[in-house]
Order: sequence, then C-alpha cells, then structure tokens
Amino acid sequence: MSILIHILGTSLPLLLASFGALISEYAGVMAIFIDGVINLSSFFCFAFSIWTGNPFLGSILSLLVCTVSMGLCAFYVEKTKANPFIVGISINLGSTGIISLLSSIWFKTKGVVSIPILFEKSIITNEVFSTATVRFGTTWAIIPSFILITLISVLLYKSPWGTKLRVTGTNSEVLRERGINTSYYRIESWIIAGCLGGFAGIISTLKLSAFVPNISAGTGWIALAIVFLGRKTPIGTIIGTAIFALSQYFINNIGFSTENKLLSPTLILAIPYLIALFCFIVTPSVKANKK
Amino acid sequence: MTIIPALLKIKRNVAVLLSSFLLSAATIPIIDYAIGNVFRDSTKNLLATPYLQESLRLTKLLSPSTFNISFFIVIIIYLLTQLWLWKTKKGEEFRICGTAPEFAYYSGFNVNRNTLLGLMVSGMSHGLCGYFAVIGTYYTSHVGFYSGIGWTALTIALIAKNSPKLLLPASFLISYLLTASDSIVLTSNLNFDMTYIVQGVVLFLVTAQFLSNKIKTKNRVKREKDK
Repeated sequence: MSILIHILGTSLPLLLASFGALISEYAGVMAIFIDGVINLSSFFCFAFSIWTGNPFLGSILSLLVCTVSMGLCAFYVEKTKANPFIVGISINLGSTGIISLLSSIWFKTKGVVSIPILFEKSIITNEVFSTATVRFGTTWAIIPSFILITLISVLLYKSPWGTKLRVTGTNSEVLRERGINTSYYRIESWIIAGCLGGFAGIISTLKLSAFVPNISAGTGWIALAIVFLGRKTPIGTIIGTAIFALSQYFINNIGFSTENKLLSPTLILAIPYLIALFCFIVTPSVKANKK
Repeated sequence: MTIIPALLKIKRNVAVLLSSFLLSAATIPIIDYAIGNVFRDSTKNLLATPYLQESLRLTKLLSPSTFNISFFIVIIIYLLTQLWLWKTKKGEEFRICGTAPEFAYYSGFNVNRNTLLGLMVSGMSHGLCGYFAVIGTYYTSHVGFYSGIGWTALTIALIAKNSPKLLLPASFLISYLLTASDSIVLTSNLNFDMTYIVQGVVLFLVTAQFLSNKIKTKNRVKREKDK
C-alpha cells in the first residue's frame, strides 16, 4: 500500500501536467509551454514562500503568477496570430533565463536553493517548509489532485463548455458559423493548462522543500507524449501516466538505483525519454499518414 | 538518428517537434556520460574529451578569433542547397511536399520520401554544425557546448520565415544579438543566462503579425480607394 501511495505521490506532477496538456490539445493548441510553466511555478512557489513565510500563500501567489501570465500569453497569441508552438518554446527558454536571473539576484546562486543554504547566509531565520508541507507534496495532494482531474474530465465530456472546447480543436469553423468566438476557448485552455502546470511545479517544490534548477526534468514534454499515447482521452492519459510512474519507480528503486550502481545517474536522465519514444514506436497510430 | 522522428511521423503521425525533442533529450545524457566518463581527459578538471591534435584542427583565418574555413564551406553548402531547391525539379517537388502536402500527394509526389529526406538533411546539417564546432572552435567536446544551438537554429529559421534566402541575414542578426548579450554579461559581471532571455524574447515576438496585418489593411484601403 505504501508503495502504491509513493508511486501515486511521485506521479502527481506528471498527471497534472498531462491533464493540462490534454485540455490544451482539445482546444487545438499543443502545450509546449508546460515544461517552462512547471519550472516557473516551482521557483516562484519557493521564492514567495520564503518571502511570505507561508508555503500556502507562496503556492497561491505562484499559481496566480503562472495562470495570469499564461492568460496574457494566450491573449497575445490570439491577437497577433503568433505561432503558439513558437511562443511555447519562447516561454520555455525565457523561463530558464528568468529563473536564472532572479535566482542570482534573490538567492545569490544559480544552483539548488534550499533552506539550509539560506540559513547559512542568514537570509531567513525561521523554518518555512515544515514536515506538513513536505507531506502535502508527496501524499496529501493525491486526493485533491484526483478530485481536480475527475472534475475536469466531467466538465470536458458532460458540459456544453467542454463540448465547445473539444470542437474548438477539431472543427472550429462550426463554432464560428454559430457565432461562437473560439479564441475564448483557446485562451481558457492556455489558462487551465498554465494552472495545472503551476500545480505540478508547486507539488515538486513542496516535495523537496527546495528549488532545483530544471526541476521539471522534462515532465512537460513527457506529459505531451502521454497525451498522444493516451489517444487524447482522460482515461488514456491516466493509463499513460501510470505506465511512466511505474517505470520511473522501478528505475529509481529497484533496477537502477544509484546504490546498486547499475547505471550512472546521468544515464538515468535519459530513461523517461527513451520510454516515451519506445511507447510511440510500439503504439499503433489512430490516424497514421496513409499517403 | 533523424530517421526515427521521420519514421514516427510517417508511420505513427507523431509530431516531429515532439519526437525529435524526446530523441534529443534521450541522447544528451548519453553523450554527457560518454564525455564525462568514457572519453574524458582525466588529466584535467574540465568534463571534456582530450584536445584535438593541431593537424586535425581547422586553421584560424583571423587569429585570435576562431573564425575558420568552415564558414566558407557552409556558404558553399548553402548556395548548393539554394540551387537544388529553386532550380531543379526534385527541389521543386521537395518544396511542394512541404508547403502543400495534399496537393503534392494528388500530383503523384512521394510526400513520405520527401519528409524522410528533409529530416535526414536537417540531421546532417546539425551533425556538421557539431563537427565544425569541435574541430574549428573548441578543439574538444565538453559537456554542454551544444546547449541551445538547436533552439537558436529554430529561431533563425522562423525569423527567415522558412525562406532560404533570408537565412544568412537572420543568422547574422541573431549571432550579433547573442554575442552582444554575452559581452554585456561579461562586462557587467552579471552571471545569468542572458542568451536564454534574448532567445525567448526574439522567439516570442518573431511570429507575431503586428506589422503585416497593419500593412495588409493599409494596402487594402489603398486598393479600395484606387477603385
């Protein structure tokens, strides 16, 4: 049971990011930006928690920053007809630079920022991240997250809003003919994806009680792969996430742990991506190019 | 290597951007491991391979700058590619397959073969870039020397609006911007990744149609007035 909870806990960021990517995909936008959002929210969660001395408030502020900024980016894309793919890549690149810049200015380091380091530099004097926040990042967040994704799935398939969002991605002309502005649905999809990506980043930070550069470690990209592998359905996305979480668990804890020294930690970084590629190779396509 | 994203696109309809990213992300740790362990020069602290012998390096043309003959080789390749794309039937077929795949399909062109060809040429060009960087600029392969080059290349291609004619000026513009940002960081003692911010801003703005929309509207108004 504890193993199951552990696997569920570690898979939460990926699950939330995958659902963010799924919603965006339904609206016809590939959520390339989600990896950058995870890193940004993770950093802001840590920084705001230090500033306010309250991880809960820090998380809310971080979520707000990520959601609003994604909304503004979506608005910009819709207004200027910019390429959402490229804007997504720019968000990823820009987030790397912004995090590095702010980390240098605020914490005087571009590397890992953790409480002990800050204590040494006497920037703060009280412990911000408690055992409870760490536990929230690993176990307590499981139920709220699953409630959230269930709610999203129900909304997507059982509400007029969900139907319109899905039609925006597949046949937006139909909606336009009926006088519905599809831009709103695309903007909403960016906002929800940004919010879910933000949640994923916050959970990652709370779990570690620290900020690690590139904390997402490709979670956003794996989430995109899961959406494609899961046939762009909520159930498929959950199954895809479960496969990745299980394989990650076995890689980290059984076969390739650093204690066993079967595989270098550098090489372990490649495994999730190799698994994603392998899944693409073995999974039959829904709509393969028949030309 | 680029055959993998090409085949995934053809056989599984997987977006090339996604599959090529996953492939790169899987390859980079393997290369880092090879540089840092298998081929590492253990006499130095740097995570890098031993330096190349003098005879294997490209000669510097404007010392102390690392500017070398690879620049002219790339220009020749660029001109040959231009000729092939715009002056041959195969080049025309290749362009049509990229811009209008449906039309190309019904015209009897092999779209899949051209997708494969395009990605293989792209992989070859990126391989050549790494090769020239090692034998012409760094003379060693150190961990992370390649970071961001692919994204910069993508930025340039987009600034050039996928037109080969604009690739050279776009390359010079971005090279200037990145070099300038690096020198600002060096002279002002800033230690953050300015390159990423510059790239991010350029990419963010590059595909927006602020001006083109205004110009189009202006031209339309002008045409209507003329009528």
